[in-house]
Amino acid sequence: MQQNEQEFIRILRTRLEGTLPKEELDDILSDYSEHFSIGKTNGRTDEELWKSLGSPEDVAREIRVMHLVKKAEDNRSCTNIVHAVVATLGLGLFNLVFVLVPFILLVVMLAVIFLVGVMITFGGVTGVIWSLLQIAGISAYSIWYSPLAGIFISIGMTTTGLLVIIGNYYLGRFFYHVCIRYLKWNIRVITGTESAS
Amino acid sequence: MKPESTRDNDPLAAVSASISRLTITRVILWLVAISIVSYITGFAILALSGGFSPGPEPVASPFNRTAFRSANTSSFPLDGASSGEVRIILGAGDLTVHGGAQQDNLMETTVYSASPLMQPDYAVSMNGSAKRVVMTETGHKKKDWVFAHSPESWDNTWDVNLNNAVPFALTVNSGAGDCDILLGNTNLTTLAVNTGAGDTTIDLGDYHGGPFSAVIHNGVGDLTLRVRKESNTRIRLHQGVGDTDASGLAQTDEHYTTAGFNPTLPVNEIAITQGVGSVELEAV
Repeated sequence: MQQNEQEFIRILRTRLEGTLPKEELDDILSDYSEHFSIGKTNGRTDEELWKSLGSPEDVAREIRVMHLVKKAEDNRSCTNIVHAVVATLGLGLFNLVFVLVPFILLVVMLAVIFLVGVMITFGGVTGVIWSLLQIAGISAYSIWYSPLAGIFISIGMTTTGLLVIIGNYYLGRFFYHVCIRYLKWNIRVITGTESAS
Repeated sequence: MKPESTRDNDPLAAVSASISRLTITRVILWLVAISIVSYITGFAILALSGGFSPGPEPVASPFNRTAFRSANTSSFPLDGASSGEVRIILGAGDLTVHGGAQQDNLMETTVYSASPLMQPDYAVSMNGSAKRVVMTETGHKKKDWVFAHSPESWDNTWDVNLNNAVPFALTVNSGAGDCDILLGNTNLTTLAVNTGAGDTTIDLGDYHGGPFSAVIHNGVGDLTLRVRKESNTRIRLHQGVGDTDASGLAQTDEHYTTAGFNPTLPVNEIAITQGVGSVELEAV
Protein backbone atom coordinates (compact mmCIF):
# COMPACT_ATOMS: atom_id res chain seq x y z
CA MET A 1 0.00 0.00 0.00
CA GLN A 2 1.38 3.37 -1.01
CA GLN A 3 1.64 5.89 1.80
CA ASN A 4 0.65 9.03 0.01
CA GLU A 5 -1.87 11.81 0.41
CA GLN A 6 -4.51 10.31 -1.90
CA GLU A 7 -4.45 6.98 -0.13
CA PHE A 8 -4.63 8.66 3.30
CA ILE A 9 -7.59 10.78 2.26
CA ARG A 10 -9.30 7.80 0.61
CA ILE A 11 -9.06 5.65 3.74
CA LEU A 12 -10.21 8.51 5.91
CA ARG A 13 -13.22 9.13 3.66
CA THR A 14 -14.15 5.46 3.52
CA ARG A 15 -13.99 5.15 7.30
CA LEU A 16 -15.95 8.28 8.09
CA GLU A 17 -18.60 8.23 5.41
CA GLY A 18 -22.00 7.57 6.91
CA THR A 19 -20.92 8.74 10.36
CA LEU A 20 -20.20 12.39 9.73
CA PRO A 21 -22.37 14.80 7.74
CA LYS A 22 -20.99 15.45 4.28
CA GLU A 23 -20.01 19.08 4.96
CA GLU A 24 -18.16 18.18 8.13
CA LEU A 25 -16.41 15.28 6.41
CA ASP A 26 -15.35 17.51 3.52
CA ASP A 27 -13.99 20.07 6.00
CA ILE A 28 -11.94 17.44 7.80
CA LEU A 29 -10.58 15.93 4.57
CA SER A 30 -9.75 19.40 3.31
CA ASP A 31 -7.80 20.08 6.56
CA TYR A 32 -5.77 16.90 6.14
CA SER A 33 -5.21 17.64 2.46
CA GLU A 34 -3.96 21.09 3.40
CA HIS A 35 -1.69 19.53 6.01
CA PHE A 36 -0.12 17.38 3.30
CA SER A 37 0.21 20.38 0.93
CA ILE A 38 1.94 22.56 3.53
CA GLY A 39 4.20 19.69 4.55
CA LYS A 40 5.23 19.02 0.98
CA THR A 41 5.89 22.74 0.42
CA ASN A 42 8.27 22.53 3.37
CA GLY A 43 10.11 19.70 1.72
CA ARG A 44 8.66 16.73 3.56
CA THR A 45 7.63 13.56 1.75
CA ASP A 46 4.23 11.86 1.77
CA GLU A 47 5.61 8.97 3.84
CA GLU A 48 6.99 11.33 6.48
CA LEU A 49 3.71 13.20 6.71
CA TRP A 50 1.77 9.92 6.87
CA LYS A 51 3.96 8.71 9.72
CA SER A 52 3.62 12.02 11.59
CA LEU A 53 -0.18 11.80 11.41
CA GLY A 54 -0.41 8.14 12.32
CA SER A 55 -2.41 5.51 10.48
CA PRO A 56 -5.56 6.87 8.78
CA GLU A 57 -7.58 4.11 10.46
CA ASP A 58 -6.59 5.42 13.91
CA VAL A 59 -7.20 9.00 12.86
CA ALA A 60 -10.63 8.06 11.52
CA ARG A 61 -11.45 6.22 14.74
CA GLU A 62 -10.54 9.23 16.89
CA ILE A 63 -12.52 11.62 14.70
CA ARG A 64 -15.50 9.30 14.80
CA VAL A 65 -15.39 9.05 18.62
CA MET A 66 -15.08 12.81 19.06
CA HIS A 67 -17.96 13.36 16.69
CA LEU A 68 -20.22 10.85 18.44
CA VAL A 69 -19.42 12.23 21.91
CA LYS A 70 -20.15 15.75 20.66
CA LYS A 71 -23.38 14.51 19.10
CA ALA A 72 -24.38 12.85 22.41
CA GLU A 73 -23.57 16.06 24.22
CA ASP A 74 -25.63 18.21 21.86
CA ASN A 75 -28.59 15.83 21.48
CA ARG A 76 -29.30 13.88 24.64
CA SER A 77 -30.61 10.42 23.87
CA CYS A 78 -29.97 6.86 24.92
CA THR A 79 -28.96 5.93 21.38
CA ASN A 80 -26.40 8.71 21.14
CA ILE A 81 -24.74 7.95 24.47
CA VAL A 82 -24.60 4.23 23.66
CA HIS A 83 -23.02 4.99 20.26
CA ALA A 84 -20.50 7.28 21.94
CA VAL A 85 -19.59 4.65 24.54
CA VAL A 86 -19.29 1.89 21.95
CA ALA A 87 -17.13 4.11 19.74
CA THR A 88 -14.88 4.91 22.72
CA LEU A 89 -14.27 1.20 23.20
CA GLY A 90 -12.56 1.19 19.81
CA LEU A 91 -9.83 3.48 21.13
CA GLY A 92 -8.33 0.79 23.32
CA LEU A 93 -9.11 -2.55 24.83
CA PHE A 94 -8.66 -1.24 28.36
CA ASN A 95 -11.73 0.92 27.79
CA LEU A 96 -13.73 -2.27 28.26
CA VAL A 97 -12.82 -1.88 31.93
CA PHE A 98 -12.60 1.88 32.23
CA VAL A 99 -15.65 2.79 30.14
CA LEU A 100 -17.91 -0.18 29.45
CA VAL A 101 -18.03 -1.66 32.96
CA PRO A 102 -18.83 1.62 34.76
CA PHE A 103 -21.37 2.46 32.05
CA ILE A 104 -23.15 -0.89 32.41
CA LEU A 105 -23.16 -0.57 36.21
CA LEU A 106 -24.63 2.90 35.88
CA VAL A 107 -27.34 1.73 33.50
CA VAL A 108 -28.18 -1.23 35.75
CA MET A 109 -28.34 1.02 38.81
CA LEU A 110 -30.70 3.47 37.06
CA ALA A 111 -32.82 0.58 35.77
CA VAL A 112 -33.08 -0.91 39.27
CA ILE A 113 -34.07 2.44 40.81
CA PHE A 114 -36.66 2.90 38.06
CA LEU A 115 -38.08 -0.58 38.67
CA VAL A 116 -38.19 0.05 42.42
CA GLY A 117 -40.08 3.29 41.75
CA VAL A 118 -42.54 1.50 39.47
CA MET A 119 -43.03 -1.29 42.02
CA ILE A 120 -43.65 1.15 44.88
CA THR A 121 -46.12 3.09 42.72
CA PHE A 122 -47.85 -0.09 41.62
CA GLY A 123 -47.88 -1.36 45.22
CA GLY A 124 -49.45 1.89 46.36
CA VAL A 125 -52.20 1.75 43.74
CA THR A 126 -52.84 -1.90 44.58
CA GLY A 127 -52.91 -1.01 48.28
CA VAL A 128 -55.62 1.59 47.69
CA ILE A 129 -57.70 -0.92 45.75
CA TRP A 130 -57.24 -3.58 48.48
CA SER A 131 -58.17 -1.08 51.16
CA LEU A 132 -61.38 -0.26 49.33
CA LEU A 133 -62.17 -3.96 48.89
CA GLN A 134 -61.46 -4.52 52.58
CA ILE A 135 -63.78 -1.64 53.51
CA ALA A 136 -66.37 -3.27 51.23
CA GLY A 137 -66.13 -6.31 53.48
CA ILE A 138 -64.36 -8.74 51.18
CA SER A 139 -62.32 -10.63 53.75
CA ALA A 140 -59.95 -12.17 51.20
CA TYR A 141 -58.42 -8.71 50.84
CA SER A 142 -57.92 -7.99 54.54
CA ILE A 143 -54.23 -7.20 54.31
CA TRP A 144 -54.47 -3.94 56.20
CA TYR A 145 -54.65 -3.80 59.94
CA SER A 146 -56.79 -0.70 59.43
CA PRO A 147 -58.14 -0.22 55.88
CA LEU A 148 -58.61 3.53 56.35
CA ALA A 149 -54.97 3.83 57.37
CA GLY A 150 -54.21 1.59 54.40
CA ILE A 151 -55.73 4.09 51.98
CA PHE A 152 -53.54 6.93 53.25
CA ILE A 153 -50.40 4.82 53.50
CA SER A 154 -51.04 3.50 49.96
CA ILE A 155 -51.44 7.04 48.63
CA GLY A 156 -48.15 7.88 50.34
CA MET A 157 -46.56 4.85 48.69
CA THR A 158 -47.87 5.86 45.27
CA THR A 159 -46.52 9.39 45.52
CA THR A 160 -43.24 8.09 46.95
CA GLY A 161 -42.94 5.78 43.94
CA LEU A 162 -43.58 8.66 41.57
CA LEU A 163 -40.94 10.72 43.39
CA VAL A 164 -38.46 7.86 43.01
CA ILE A 165 -39.19 7.71 39.26
CA ILE A 166 -38.82 11.48 38.88
CA GLY A 167 -35.66 11.44 41.00
CA ASN A 168 -34.31 8.66 38.83
CA TYR A 169 -34.93 10.78 35.73
CA TYR A 170 -32.85 13.63 37.18
CA LEU A 171 -30.22 11.17 38.37
CA GLY A 172 -30.09 9.84 34.81
CA ARG A 173 -29.60 13.36 33.44
CA PHE A 174 -26.84 14.00 35.96
CA PHE A 175 -25.03 10.78 35.12
CA TYR A 176 -25.47 11.49 31.38
CA HIS A 177 -23.59 14.74 31.90
CA VAL A 178 -20.93 13.02 34.02
CA CYS A 179 -20.62 10.28 31.40
CA ILE A 180 -19.99 12.79 28.61
CA ARG A 181 -17.32 14.56 30.65
CA TYR A 182 -15.73 11.24 31.49
CA LEU A 183 -15.70 10.15 27.83
CA LYS A 184 -14.11 13.45 26.81
CA TRP A 185 -11.48 13.07 29.51
CA ASN A 186 -10.91 9.49 28.41
CA ILE A 187 -10.41 10.56 24.80
CA ARG A 188 -8.03 13.34 25.86
CA VAL A 189 -5.94 10.88 27.86
CA ILE A 190 -5.81 8.32 25.05
CA THR A 191 -5.17 10.68 22.16
CA GLY A 192 -2.94 12.98 24.17
CA THR A 193 -4.84 16.04 22.96
CA GLU A 194 -5.87 18.95 25.16
CA SER A 195 -9.38 19.18 23.84
CA ALA A 196 -11.62 16.42 22.59
CA SER A 197 -13.93 18.71 20.72
CA MET B 1 -65.92 47.66 33.54
CA LYS B 2 -63.31 45.12 32.44
CA PRO B 3 -64.63 42.18 30.41
CA GLU B 4 -64.46 38.79 32.12
CA SER B 5 -61.50 36.73 31.03
CA THR B 6 -61.97 33.51 29.10
CA ARG B 7 -60.72 31.55 32.12
CA ASP B 8 -63.55 32.82 34.27
CA ASN B 9 -66.11 31.65 31.74
CA ASP B 10 -64.61 28.40 30.63
CA PRO B 11 -63.73 25.90 33.40
CA LEU B 12 -61.84 23.73 30.91
CA ALA B 13 -59.63 26.66 30.01
CA ALA B 14 -59.04 27.31 33.69
CA VAL B 15 -57.94 23.72 34.26
CA SER B 16 -55.76 23.83 31.17
CA ALA B 17 -54.15 27.07 32.37
CA SER B 18 -53.56 25.54 35.81
CA ILE B 19 -51.87 22.49 34.28
CA SER B 20 -49.70 24.63 32.05
CA ARG B 21 -48.48 26.50 35.14
CA LEU B 22 -47.43 23.22 36.78
CA THR B 23 -43.68 23.10 36.56
CA ILE B 24 -41.82 19.97 37.51
CA THR B 25 -40.68 21.69 40.71
CA ARG B 26 -44.29 22.24 41.71
CA VAL B 27 -45.16 18.64 40.85
CA ILE B 28 -42.32 17.38 43.04
CA LEU B 29 -43.30 19.67 45.90
CA TRP B 30 -46.91 18.50 45.64
CA LEU B 31 -45.85 14.86 45.63
CA VAL B 32 -43.62 15.40 48.67
CA ALA B 33 -46.44 17.17 50.49
CA ILE B 34 -48.97 14.47 49.62
CA SER B 35 -46.53 11.75 50.72
CA ILE B 36 -45.83 13.37 54.08
CA VAL B 37 -49.49 14.11 54.82
CA SER B 38 -50.58 10.62 53.72
CA TYR B 39 -48.01 8.81 55.83
CA ILE B 40 -48.68 10.93 58.90
CA THR B 41 -52.45 10.50 58.53
CA GLY B 42 -52.18 6.78 57.80
CA PHE B 43 -49.91 5.97 60.70
CA ALA B 44 -51.89 8.24 63.02
CA ILE B 45 -55.06 6.32 62.17
CA LEU B 46 -53.15 3.09 62.68
CA ALA B 47 -51.91 4.24 66.09
CA LEU B 48 -55.37 5.43 67.13
CA SER B 49 -56.93 2.16 66.04
CA GLY B 50 -54.56 0.25 68.31
CA GLY B 51 -52.19 -0.90 65.63
CA PHE B 52 -49.09 -0.27 67.70
CA SER B 53 -50.23 -1.61 71.04
CA PRO B 54 -49.99 -5.20 72.23
CA GLY B 55 -53.17 -7.08 71.58
CA PRO B 56 -54.56 -10.20 70.01
CA GLU B 57 -52.46 -9.46 66.99
CA PRO B 58 -49.53 -7.24 67.92
CA VAL B 59 -48.27 -5.32 64.92
CA ALA B 60 -45.43 -3.00 64.19
CA SER B 61 -46.50 -2.65 60.57
CA PRO B 62 -49.74 -1.60 58.94
CA PHE B 63 -50.28 -5.05 57.50
CA ASN B 64 -52.50 -7.73 58.87
CA ARG B 65 -50.07 -10.54 59.52
CA THR B 66 -52.64 -13.27 59.31
CA ALA B 67 -54.28 -12.08 56.08
CA PHE B 68 -52.95 -14.91 53.97
CA ARG B 69 -53.22 -17.64 56.53
CA SER B 70 -56.33 -19.64 57.10
CA ALA B 71 -57.72 -19.51 60.60
CA ASN B 72 -58.56 -22.70 62.42
CA THR B 73 -60.82 -22.09 65.39
CA SER B 74 -61.79 -24.41 68.24
CA SER B 75 -63.93 -24.01 71.36
CA PHE B 76 -63.82 -26.00 74.60
CA PRO B 77 -67.02 -25.73 76.66
CA LEU B 78 -66.89 -25.80 80.43
CA ASP B 79 -69.35 -28.69 80.63
CA GLY B 80 -70.26 -27.67 84.16
CA ALA B 81 -66.69 -27.44 85.40
CA SER B 82 -66.08 -24.94 88.17
CA SER B 83 -62.36 -24.61 87.51
CA GLY B 84 -59.95 -25.24 84.71
CA GLU B 85 -56.43 -26.19 83.82
CA VAL B 86 -54.96 -25.06 80.54
CA ARG B 87 -51.60 -26.12 79.15
CA ILE B 88 -50.27 -24.59 75.94
CA ILE B 89 -47.17 -26.05 74.30
CA LEU B 90 -45.96 -24.18 71.24
CA GLY B 91 -42.67 -24.97 69.54
CA ALA B 92 -42.25 -22.03 67.21
CA GLY B 93 -44.57 -19.15 66.53
CA ASP B 94 -46.25 -16.23 68.16
CA LEU B 95 -48.67 -16.78 70.99
CA THR B 96 -51.27 -14.49 72.45
CA VAL B 97 -53.32 -15.53 75.46
CA HIS B 98 -56.03 -13.31 76.83
CA GLY B 99 -59.47 -13.34 78.39
CA GLY B 100 -62.75 -12.86 76.65
CA ALA B 101 -63.92 -16.41 75.90
CA GLN B 102 -67.67 -16.91 75.88
CA GLN B 103 -69.20 -17.54 79.28
CA ASP B 104 -69.83 -21.24 78.55
CA ASN B 105 -66.37 -21.92 77.23
CA LEU B 106 -63.19 -22.49 79.16
CA MET B 107 -61.10 -21.76 76.11
CA GLU B 108 -61.39 -20.67 72.49
CA THR B 109 -58.47 -20.89 70.12
CA THR B 110 -57.70 -19.45 66.72
CA VAL B 111 -54.65 -20.82 64.97
CA TYR B 112 -53.22 -19.08 61.91
CA SER B 113 -50.71 -21.28 60.24
CA ALA B 114 -49.39 -22.06 56.79
CA SER B 115 -48.02 -25.40 57.87
CA PRO B 116 -50.10 -28.46 58.82
CA LEU B 117 -47.36 -29.35 61.32
CA MET B 118 -48.22 -26.26 63.26
CA GLN B 119 -51.86 -27.18 63.72
CA PRO B 120 -52.16 -28.17 67.37
CA ASP B 121 -53.47 -31.30 68.95
CA TYR B 122 -55.94 -30.93 71.79
CA ALA B 123 -56.32 -33.24 74.76
CA VAL B 124 -59.43 -32.62 76.82
CA SER B 125 -60.30 -34.31 80.10
CA MET B 126 -62.33 -33.79 83.26
CA ASN B 127 -60.86 -34.22 86.71
CA GLY B 128 -63.72 -33.94 89.16
CA SER B 129 -65.07 -30.45 88.72
CA ALA B 130 -61.98 -29.25 86.87
CA LYS B 131 -61.74 -29.24 83.10
CA ARG B 132 -58.31 -29.76 81.59
CA VAL B 133 -57.28 -28.75 78.06
CA VAL B 134 -53.84 -29.34 76.65
CA MET B 135 -53.01 -27.62 73.38
CA THR B 136 -49.85 -29.00 71.83
CA GLU B 137 -48.12 -28.24 68.59
CA THR B 138 -48.13 -31.44 66.52
CA GLY B 139 -44.55 -31.01 65.38
CA HIS B 140 -43.38 -30.69 68.93
CA LYS B 141 -43.94 -34.34 69.59
CA LYS B 142 -41.50 -35.35 66.93
CA LYS B 143 -38.91 -32.62 66.88
CA ASP B 144 -36.89 -30.35 69.04
CA TRP B 145 -38.62 -27.11 69.97
CA VAL B 146 -36.26 -24.47 68.75
CA PHE B 147 -34.28 -25.91 65.89
CA ALA B 148 -36.68 -28.32 64.29
CA HIS B 149 -38.59 -25.82 62.21
CA SER B 150 -37.62 -24.13 59.01
CA PRO B 151 -38.03 -20.33 59.08
CA GLU B 152 -41.14 -20.41 56.86
CA SER B 153 -42.93 -22.59 59.40
CA TRP B 154 -42.56 -19.78 61.93
CA ASP B 155 -45.42 -18.17 60.11
CA ASN B 156 -47.57 -19.47 62.90
CA THR B 157 -49.81 -17.56 65.27
CA TRP B 158 -51.89 -18.91 68.09
CA ASP B 159 -54.57 -16.76 69.64
CA VAL B 160 -56.12 -18.18 72.80
CA ASN B 161 -59.11 -16.75 74.67
CA LEU B 162 -59.77 -17.92 78.21
CA ASN B 163 -62.83 -17.69 80.39
CA ASN B 164 -62.98 -14.54 82.48
CA ALA B 165 -64.89 -15.89 85.48
CA VAL B 166 -63.83 -19.49 86.09
CA PRO B 167 -60.58 -19.86 88.04
CA PHE B 168 -57.94 -21.75 86.12
CA ALA B 169 -54.32 -22.77 86.17
CA LEU B 170 -52.39 -21.81 83.09
CA THR B 171 -49.14 -23.30 81.84
CA VAL B 172 -47.44 -21.91 78.76
CA ASN B 173 -44.39 -23.51 77.17
CA SER B 174 -43.15 -21.64 74.16
CA GLY B 175 -39.99 -22.51 72.23
CA ALA B 176 -39.29 -19.67 69.87
CA GLY B 177 -41.41 -16.66 69.14
CA ASP B 178 -43.05 -13.76 70.87
CA CYS B 179 -45.46 -14.43 73.65
CA ASP B 180 -48.16 -12.07 74.93
CA ILE B 181 -50.11 -13.17 77.95
CA LEU B 182 -52.77 -10.61 78.73
CA LEU B 183 -54.78 -11.84 81.66
CA GLY B 184 -56.25 -8.67 83.10
CA ASN B 185 -59.83 -9.91 82.92
CA THR B 186 -59.28 -13.48 84.06
CA ASN B 187 -59.24 -15.39 87.31
CA LEU B 188 -55.99 -17.24 87.88
CA THR B 189 -54.97 -19.82 90.42
CA THR B 190 -51.51 -20.53 89.10
CA LEU B 191 -49.47 -19.37 86.14
CA ALA B 192 -46.40 -21.08 84.75
CA VAL B 193 -44.60 -19.62 81.75
CA ASN B 194 -41.54 -21.17 80.15
CA THR B 195 -40.20 -19.47 77.06
CA GLY B 196 -37.14 -20.27 74.96
CA ALA B 197 -36.34 -17.40 72.62
CA GLY B 198 -38.43 -14.33 71.97
CA ASP B 199 -39.97 -11.40 73.75
CA THR B 200 -42.55 -12.06 76.43
CA THR B 201 -45.19 -9.72 77.77
CA ILE B 202 -47.32 -10.69 80.74
CA ASP B 203 -49.95 -8.12 81.46
CA LEU B 204 -51.85 -8.38 84.73
CA GLY B 205 -52.37 -4.64 85.00
CA ASP B 206 -56.15 -4.94 85.24
CA TYR B 207 -56.20 -8.18 87.19
CA HIS B 208 -59.06 -8.35 89.69
CA GLY B 209 -59.27 -12.13 90.12
CA GLY B 210 -58.24 -14.20 93.13
CA PRO B 211 -54.74 -14.55 94.52
CA PHE B 212 -52.40 -16.61 92.42
CA SER B 213 -48.84 -17.83 92.25
CA ALA B 214 -46.78 -17.55 89.10
CA VAL B 215 -43.48 -19.00 87.96
CA ILE B 216 -41.89 -17.45 84.89
CA HIS B 217 -38.79 -18.80 83.18
CA ASN B 218 -37.72 -16.61 80.30
CA GLY B 219 -34.83 -17.82 78.16
CA VAL B 220 -33.48 -15.36 75.61
CA GLY B 221 -35.48 -12.20 75.02
CA ASP B 222 -36.98 -9.27 76.81
CA LEU B 223 -39.60 -9.76 79.48
CA THR B 224 -42.26 -7.25 80.44
CA LEU B 225 -44.47 -7.87 83.44
CA ARG B 226 -47.27 -5.54 84.45
CA VAL B 227 -49.19 -5.88 87.69
CA ARG B 228 -51.94 -3.76 89.19
CA LYS B 229 -50.46 -1.24 91.60
CA GLU B 230 -53.33 -1.75 94.06
CA SER B 231 -52.73 -5.52 94.17
CA ASN B 232 -50.84 -7.26 96.99
CA THR B 233 -48.07 -8.62 94.81
CA ARG B 234 -44.55 -9.78 95.52
CA ILE B 235 -42.12 -10.53 92.68
CA ARG B 236 -38.89 -12.43 93.13
CA LEU B 237 -36.49 -11.88 90.27
CA HIS B 238 -33.43 -13.94 89.37
CA GLN B 239 -31.89 -11.88 86.64
CA GLY B 240 -29.36 -13.40 84.27
CA VAL B 241 -27.73 -11.15 81.67
CA GLY B 242 -29.56 -7.90 81.04
CA ASP B 243 -30.98 -4.79 82.61
CA THR B 244 -33.83 -4.57 85.05
CA ASP B 245 -36.20 -1.66 85.08
CA ALA B 246 -38.86 -1.50 87.77
CA SER B 247 -41.43 1.24 88.07
CA GLY B 248 -44.05 1.65 90.79
CA LEU B 249 -42.54 -1.19 92.83
CA ALA B 250 -40.47 -1.18 96.00
CA GLN B 251 -37.26 -3.22 95.82
CA THR B 252 -35.69 -5.25 98.62
CA ASP B 253 -32.78 -7.32 97.34
CA GLU B 254 -34.27 -9.47 94.64
CA HIS B 255 -37.84 -8.89 95.74
CA TYR B 256 -40.13 -6.28 94.31
CA THR B 257 -43.43 -5.45 95.99
CA THR B 258 -46.35 -3.25 95.19
CA ALA B 259 -46.99 -0.18 97.35
CA GLY B 260 -48.60 -1.10 100.67
CA PHE B 261 -47.68 -4.76 100.32
CA ASN B 262 -48.90 -6.78 103.30
CA PRO B 263 -47.67 -10.40 103.64
CA THR B 264 -50.42 -11.24 106.07
CA LEU B 265 -53.04 -10.74 103.38
CA PRO B 266 -53.51 -13.03 100.37
CA VAL B 267 -50.50 -12.47 98.14
CA ASN B 268 -49.93 -12.77 94.43
CA GLU B 269 -46.52 -14.44 94.36
CA ILE B 270 -44.53 -14.22 91.16
CA ALA B 271 -41.12 -15.82 90.71
CA ILE B 272 -39.12 -14.86 87.64
CA THR B 273 -35.99 -16.46 86.31
CA GLN B 274 -34.58 -14.50 83.43
CA GLY B 275 -31.83 -15.81 81.13
CA VAL B 276 -30.62 -13.22 78.65
CA GLY B 277 -32.49 -10.00 78.04
CA SER B 278 -33.90 -7.04 79.85
CA VAL B 279 -36.70 -7.26 82.40
CA GLU B 280 -39.26 -4.53 82.81
CA LEU B 281 -41.50 -4.66 85.84
CA GLU B 282 -44.35 -2.19 86.06
CA ALA B 283 -47.06 -1.53 88.59
CA VAL B 284 -49.81 0.25 86.69
